[in-house]
Amino acid sequence: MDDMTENIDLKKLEKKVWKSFFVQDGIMDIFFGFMFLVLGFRPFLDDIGITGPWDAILSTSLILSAPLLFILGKKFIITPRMGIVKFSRERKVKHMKVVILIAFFIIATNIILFLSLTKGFPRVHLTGLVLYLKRLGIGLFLWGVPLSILAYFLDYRHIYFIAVLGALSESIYAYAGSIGFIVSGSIILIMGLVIFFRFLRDYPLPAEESE
Amino acid sequence: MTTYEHDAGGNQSPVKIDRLIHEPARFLIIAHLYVVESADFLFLMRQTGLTRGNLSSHMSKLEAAGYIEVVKEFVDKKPHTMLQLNDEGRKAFQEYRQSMRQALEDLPGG
Repeated sequence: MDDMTENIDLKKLEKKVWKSFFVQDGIMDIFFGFMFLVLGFRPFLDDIGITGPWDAILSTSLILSAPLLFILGKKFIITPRMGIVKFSRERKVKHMKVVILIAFFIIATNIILFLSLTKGFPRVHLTGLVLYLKRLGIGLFLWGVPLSILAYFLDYRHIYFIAVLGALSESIYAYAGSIGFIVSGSIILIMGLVIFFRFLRDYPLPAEESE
Repeated sequence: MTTYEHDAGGNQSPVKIDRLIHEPARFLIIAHLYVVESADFLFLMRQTGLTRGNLSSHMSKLEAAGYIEVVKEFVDKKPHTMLQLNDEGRKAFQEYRQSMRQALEDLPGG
């Protein structure tokens, strides 16, 4: 506190406040870890007898439950410990840019998937290094670039690490199946849980009501 | 609290430092409210590290000075108090920072 009055950097302070509210609790890491694990275990649903429409229903439910868990975690676990804040207009605008970028990549990805499924793209048989580079390119497009942009706008470096894991997991899919996503998801989930439990320890529920 | 600035003719004139904001705890509170739109009591407590009683005492002084507004609203059907720096408070903080910069620039020896 001694240096604050003279050397305070308001931009850094705002960033610190944003980070403490949005990313320091580990919920985002848990969210990504869970998503990766769902993608990793999905191909094994056949092995346990879940096929056809039930496969789609279960997979979709699990994927949709991830953002729901994120929202509920924030509302019922984080907010009672951290309090409520409304950020400035500039921060809200930055947030909106993130939402638009993510929406753009989801739409672009779905278009590409649709074209590849309907044979809109020419089929080329690739092997060896070229096949790996193709998968790596897909990984960068699906995970590396969008997550890196998300990391930049959210000011959260962990997401760069998640982006690398996502791209690598995608790149080895042709050789090792979904094992990459299972391993990556486990690493990210454990990381998130460590941060989360540390957060619970550092920020217990307040003794009195905040009113 | 007063320090001095010098005009082109080398004459001293006083630069006033707002003592209300200058107190470290209140400075922290105002700085945090300055960078957000509004925040509740618990959030400020967490960010500043102040105790409940301490924060409450400082908030009362800032409210009495007309720098912050207390907005009572309902969040999930529960009453909630949000605190925000009003225009006067923002202006006072900007002037305080300006004054401090000026005061530090005027120190001999740089």
